[in-house]
Amino acid sequence: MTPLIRAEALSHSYKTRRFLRPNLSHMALDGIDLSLAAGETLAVVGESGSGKSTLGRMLLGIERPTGGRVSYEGRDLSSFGPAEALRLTQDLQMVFQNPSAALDPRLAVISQIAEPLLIHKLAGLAEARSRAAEMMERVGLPPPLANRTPKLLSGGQRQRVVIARALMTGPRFVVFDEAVSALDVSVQAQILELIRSLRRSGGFASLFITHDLRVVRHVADRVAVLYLGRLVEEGPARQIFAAPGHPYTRALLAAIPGSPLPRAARLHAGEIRREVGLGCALVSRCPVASALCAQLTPPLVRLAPGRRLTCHHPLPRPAPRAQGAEAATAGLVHSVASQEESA
Amino acid sequence: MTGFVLGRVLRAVLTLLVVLSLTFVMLRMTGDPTRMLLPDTASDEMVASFRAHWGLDQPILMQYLHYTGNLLKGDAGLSIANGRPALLVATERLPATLKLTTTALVLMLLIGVPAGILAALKRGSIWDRSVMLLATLGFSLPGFVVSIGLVYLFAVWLRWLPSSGSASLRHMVLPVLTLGLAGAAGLARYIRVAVLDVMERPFILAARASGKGRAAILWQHVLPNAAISLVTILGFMVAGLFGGSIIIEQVFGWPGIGRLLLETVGMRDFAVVQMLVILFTAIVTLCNLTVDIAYGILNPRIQATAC
Amino acid sequence: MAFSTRAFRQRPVDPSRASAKGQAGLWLRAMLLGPVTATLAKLWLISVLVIAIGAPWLAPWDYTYQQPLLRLSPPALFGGDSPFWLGSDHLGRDTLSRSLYAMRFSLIVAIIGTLTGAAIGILAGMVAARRRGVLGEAIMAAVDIQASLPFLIFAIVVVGVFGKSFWLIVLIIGIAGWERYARLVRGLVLDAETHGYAGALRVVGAGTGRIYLHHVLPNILGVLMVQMTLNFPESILLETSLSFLGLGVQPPMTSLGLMISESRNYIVNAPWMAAVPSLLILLTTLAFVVLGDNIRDRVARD
Ligand SMILES: Nc1ncnc2c1ncn2[C@@H]1O[C@H](COP(=O)(O)OP(=O)(O)OP(=O)(O)O)[C@@H](O)[C@H]1O
Ligand SMILES: [Mg+2]
Repeated sequence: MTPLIRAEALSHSYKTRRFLRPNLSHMALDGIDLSLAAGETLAVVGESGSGKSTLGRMLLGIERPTGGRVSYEGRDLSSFGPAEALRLTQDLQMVFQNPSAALDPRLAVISQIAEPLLIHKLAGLAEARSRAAEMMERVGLPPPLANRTPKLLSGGQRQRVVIARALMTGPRFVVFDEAVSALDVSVQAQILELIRSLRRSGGFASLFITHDLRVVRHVADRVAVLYLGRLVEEGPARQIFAAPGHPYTRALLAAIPGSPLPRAARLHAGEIRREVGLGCALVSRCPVASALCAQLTPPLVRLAPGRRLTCHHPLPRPAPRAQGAEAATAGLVHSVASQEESA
Repeated sequence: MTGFVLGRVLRAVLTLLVVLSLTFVMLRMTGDPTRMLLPDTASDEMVASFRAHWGLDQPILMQYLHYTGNLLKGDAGLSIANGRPALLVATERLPATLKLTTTALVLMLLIGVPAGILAALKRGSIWDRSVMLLATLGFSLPGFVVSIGLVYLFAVWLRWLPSSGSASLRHMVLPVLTLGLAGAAGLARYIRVAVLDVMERPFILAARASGKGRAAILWQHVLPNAAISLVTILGFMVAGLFGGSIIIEQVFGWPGIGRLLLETVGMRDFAVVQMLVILFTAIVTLCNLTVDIAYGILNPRIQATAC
Repeated sequence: MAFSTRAFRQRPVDPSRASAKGQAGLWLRAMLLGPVTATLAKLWLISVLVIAIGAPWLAPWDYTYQQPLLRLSPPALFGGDSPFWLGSDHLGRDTLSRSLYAMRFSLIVAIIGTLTGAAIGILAGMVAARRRGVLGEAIMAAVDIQASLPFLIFAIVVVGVFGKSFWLIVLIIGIAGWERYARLVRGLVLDAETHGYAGALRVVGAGTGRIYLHHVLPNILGVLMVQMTLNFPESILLETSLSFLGLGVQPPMTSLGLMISESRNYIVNAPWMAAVPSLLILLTTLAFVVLGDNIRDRVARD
């Protein structure tokens, strides 16, 4: 079965033009392979600047990759013409971190929710408004709010408006970019619950971008961890939480307040490398780094179906599945050794 | 620093080039002045030879290249009115304008800066109100109204000063006063805001809390910071002075380049008009450039973001 | 002449500082800059609007009607022996009627000119924000260049070259002001695109036209209105200056600047010829400046 959305060797570099000096270019994403099946939720985690938003924008075709490709239902996004691209915005949607910035401050929220139907000429004005009113109910916005401007709503209500607008055209894939991180913790839980129930009833696939792993446990089927534009680890959410394979993932888990993991699992306060060159990008901060890590970029290794990792020293896996892990680790060590020989 | 200066210089050159090209195209767009300058009875051959003589029969691009080429050699063509080099015609009137504007600039700074500081320091007092009232009045009045008021007061009523001409120093008083006062009005308003702005910044509050005296705060913190914002609008004020000088020269019969511009535009003396526009632009751009660089030195933080 | 100071912010006056120095002092203070001044300014501007619309009905005389025998008659209002309330000019025309028509003309030109400038500037600003390449850079370079030079010079050359006409003057006044709007609009649009609702609307499939006309424009209208209030007195000053230099309206039509220019040779014998239009210009631009300061204060406070 072809996946709904697929990224292959996806790379993106931002160019900064400078006056009378050479331009700067910055690799925000470097060779990412990912795919999402219909209805599935993939969480993307990583610290600030790791390229999460860039990835989300490119999966939606908002921004063009500078390398690799993204395909939707098996078709390369770059092959869509302008009219088809417009049609595509019905299927691919996005919910932003800051709902206040995503809404027109002057316009009644019901008009904003109805707007996608008008843009795509899917309904007349009256019908669009009545469908918007239905959608408001679905996302838990009481009808009296319909004619208010966003200023008069709470943060959580605004995010519900943004979600409602994104869902109006019945999208098949929605990117939630830090959709709850600007909200109060109690409101976060409500919005997460809303997203979960909408996903169950609406059946859309989603990419859930966050830097907060706590949020992930509730919503994600799978988790992908990014560091400086590279995929560090990917796997089923339950496995990632129970047995992180990458020291970086474990460090992220250890950083969650109240985590049982030891302090030693956390990252050193080392300097963050900006340029991804030879060797592991994490080497200065990693608690288990060796001399090898500084010299050789670790390859991406498939541990099990749907479980991938980039590390020279993956963490041991707990007992029940030890055999498979050992095999994988053995294979990894072997492949590293052979690379060393050839180097 | 050199990159910053270089960027500014490039921008100044670009300004000159754009203005030169625009005026050139515009001046040539309405056709040539042959018919206007020759008598109606002129024969076709006369017209043709006149046009050939002045290069008016060439395509406009050729005329343009020709003109810029010559300009770089210091040749801005000849005045159609009297056959003298346009560069000479324009520059010989320049000192009069510079005399007017520089004196007015000094007057503007001497009045505007202290008045603005006074208004800010005595904010809300009757001093503030009076300064602001006068400043707002001056700011709202066109130069020619002010000048006519001053002429009526000093020349007609009091008979202290001559109303027009440029023969003596006394002739300078009214034009300089008009130009300088109008500038001072705008400047006082600006300086007042700038000083108030500085006084509300956290480091001033911190200095005050640490028990520093009022005078010390004023001289060490407020004024130096306000001076930086003065520098930022100085170039702009200078442009205003030159724009204003055109009207003032016309009112007072002051023989500067502003009045020359009006005369030559009326006669369609292209070469001189073109030269005058370049002259105005060059002077103002040079002032802006100096101010920009001074600002860059005073406030090194902007260099990184400037380009 | 007004040196318009861009980026000019005036602070609201701290009321606690206005300690009682007697009733008279308070009144004087309120009159000088307090809200009373703003009210007066608004009243004056309403009268100006009435004049501009009603000049043909308000004027006691035909403004072009010459009565050579009544040249330079003193104003009857101040005890002069003449049929003219505010005196007559060197051709025996009624100063009051001429002033009303001049006001009307100056105001119409300034209004259309300001609107033209706003329209050009909004369009250019939007284009500059949307097309960040060569076109956008060129627009912003033009903005910078124009802002740094005295515009009057170019106005003079343009009128001198193309001849005087109503629409040319309007266009010149528009071009004089466009750069402010362009800079302002570009900044606001970029803000909406990068951190605001415009970027979000693109994701839902809205096109540039829809976003800019339906969403951005209504949102920035308030700021644009403030800018227009600030720009308007400058438009009046530019129009009157051009007319004063003989580069504006053509006789027999008249404008405040032209009237003042005509009065120059009669300043000794007929000072009213200069005084009436001067006063009208002063009051009108002053009213706008006061109103502009007032609005800006209120916007800054919010
Ligand atoms: N428009 C841009 N121009 C230049 N560089 C950019 C741009 N957008 C992002 N970047 C850079 O690309 C890298 C990845 O940015 P991105 O926004 O994708 O990170 P992120 O993981 O979403 O971070 P955050 O959690 O802070 O949102 C960062 O280093 C950022 O500085
Ligand atoms: Mg992000």
